[in-house]
Formats: sequence, structure tokens, C-alpha cells
Amino acid sequence: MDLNIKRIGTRSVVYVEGDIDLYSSPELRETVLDLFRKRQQEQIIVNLAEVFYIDSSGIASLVEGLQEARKQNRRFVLVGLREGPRHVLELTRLLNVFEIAETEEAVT
Amino acid sequence: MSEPKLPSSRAHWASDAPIISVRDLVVRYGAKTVLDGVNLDIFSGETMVIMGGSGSGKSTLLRRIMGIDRPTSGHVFIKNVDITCATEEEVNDIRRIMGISFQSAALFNSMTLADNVALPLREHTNLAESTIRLMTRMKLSQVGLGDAENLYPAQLSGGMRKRASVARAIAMDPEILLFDEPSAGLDPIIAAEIDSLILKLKSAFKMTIVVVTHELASAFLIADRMCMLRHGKILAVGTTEEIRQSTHPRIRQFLDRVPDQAAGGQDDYLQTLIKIQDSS
Repeated sequence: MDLNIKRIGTRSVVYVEGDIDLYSSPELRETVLDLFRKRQQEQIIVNLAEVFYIDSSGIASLVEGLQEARKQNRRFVLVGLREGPRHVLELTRLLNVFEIAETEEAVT
Repeated sequence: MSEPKLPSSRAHWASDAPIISVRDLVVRYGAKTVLDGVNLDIFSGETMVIMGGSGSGKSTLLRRIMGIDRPTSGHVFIKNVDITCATEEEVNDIRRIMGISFQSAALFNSMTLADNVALPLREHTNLAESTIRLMTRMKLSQVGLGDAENLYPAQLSGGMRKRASVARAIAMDPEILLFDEPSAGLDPIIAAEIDSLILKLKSAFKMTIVVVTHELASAFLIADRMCMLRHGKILAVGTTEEIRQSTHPRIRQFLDRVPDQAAGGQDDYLQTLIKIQDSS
């Protein structure tokens, strides 16, 4: 998995490429939590357009990002969700818990 | 934690190559032959149901796929690694991509359900404790035990223990999931929920699932292909439809639930008597 971050003011977009699994999810978790806690970002968008597989540890890492956002009254959005990851979110009954947008541009 | 040194990740394992390949497998206990030259290929992302009557060798076959016991002869390849002669390190790598739900649940009585489910995650990953706790709750919720995380196995019914065992088996979203009689002893509603979970896991996580069962309704619901065993030999391997349409007398007997004598079991009985007479 590769992570790239684009920061514009208090908004960060995390571009994820590759599988999010037991081995890679800790990096995604740390990245998202750091952006909220250390970089004081108001809004984090996780772009999953290049993610075809995510496991439960990846979902749990995203939940931790969402938890942190809610704790700090900030915004956490998932975009570009492909069928596989969407299916895992459905299975874990978390699809409606996240704010989800089709594209970055759709996030106002 | 280092990544398993197995060839190819789940996403890239070629679907036309068997992820599990059993070759000429023979298991004998003394004079008794339990598996007699079994050959079976299981492909990535499919659900293979192994069926057969009591003593047909199905659980023995599953245990060899799990790498628990060594066969008398033959080979079991998991992702091209022969686990019948693999090093301890190779077997450990393979076990990390396998989830196993035993017939007897096999939970640790001194641990809560949450700790039982979290155990493989704590043992085999470097995930943060907060991530592990979230995953554990997700898994227990998936088997309908979301409110039981602080209970101990002794406080649970048999069906709940079985579901907890399933939750632990899926804790790491294994690439290969092995079930020994997942519905045995469960009431029909909970058994149907386990079937539904198996279907969802396969679809969401692209798991390869091997199930040993003799519950016909469950088998036909969850299987992509089925393997019928009898007396340690494979009678047939095929899609659910091929098995359903089979005219093989022993498969028909099994599917139509015909008692042994009515299906010509007298021949077997006579053979047994003759054998006894010959050896005396």
C-alpha cells in the first residue's frame, strides 16, 4: 500500500493505493490520526479510488479516524469507494456510518 | 510482524491455479485406511463443501489440509507449499492465512469471548490495541454475539460457543477459512445465520472456504463445488448442480437419505462377514 497526502490549508486528502490489510492498515491509521492530532486538520478526505481490497483491520482503522474526527468536531470523508471495499463496509454494517462521496470535488 | 513469505497476495493469486491441492493422500491408523489416495483441487475464492457419512474420512481430510497431522503418504499443497514436509516456519506462515473453526469450538475457558477472538490478532499482528478491540467487536457482531464480549465460554450455550469459534476463525480475515461442521448442534435459525455469514465472507473478503458438513440444505446453499467421500475415497467432485443430478447410487443414497440396507448395503455387510471369516 502506498499513501500520498495533499494538504490545502486545513484540508488534507489521503490518496491510498493498494491493499489495506493487517500489514498496511497501521500506517493508514497513524497517518489519519496524526493529521487530526498533530496537523490540526479540519477536514480529511480518504481517497480509496485505487483500493480494491480492504480487510477488517482497514475498516477498524477508518473507524478510528472517524472517532477522532467526531471527538474533535471535524470532518472525515471517504471518496472513490470501489465495489470490494463497499461490500466490506456493508458486511460490517458501517456503510451508513461514514460520510461517503463519489469524488473529491463532490465534497463541499 | 513480518509478512508471510508465501507466494502472491490474496488479490493476485491466479484464480486458475488451485490454492489448495491434495495429491495421492493416504492416511492409515494401524490396519485401517481412512483416506485412500485422495486427489482434490480447491480454487481461490470458491467454497468447497466436503460431504460424506460418518467415518467417510471428511474430518480426517480437513485436518490434513489444516496441517494438524501428517499423512501416511501423499501431499497437501497450500499456495504451492507442501505442508506435509514444510518447515515449522513455512507451516506458521500458512497458518496465518488460515482461519479454523473446530467442531468443538476450542475456546480458552479462562478468557472472555473478546479476548478469545482477539488472541490471534494480538499473537500475529502489530495492530494497535484500540484497532484490535474494534475488530473484535465487529467480528462478534457478525456472529450475533455483539453483547457477549465480556462473557466467559462457560457462561455460553453450545450454539454461542460455536459462533464465538467462528468469530475467532475470521478475526484475521483469513485467505482460507476451514470449517468443521459449522452448523452441528445449532438451532435452524442460527445455522441459517452462519450459512449467510459464510456467503457474505466469501463475497466481501474473497475467501476460499472449505466446509465439512453432512447438513444437506446448508451444503447446497453455500457450496460452489462439492466433494463426496465414502470409505476414504472420493466418489465425485462437482458443482452443486452436478452433484444434485448425479446418478451414482451412493450419492443418491446420501442425498435421498436412504437407509443403508434399502440401498443395497447388504453387499457391504456380506463382504464384511466374508472378510471376518477369511481372517479367522
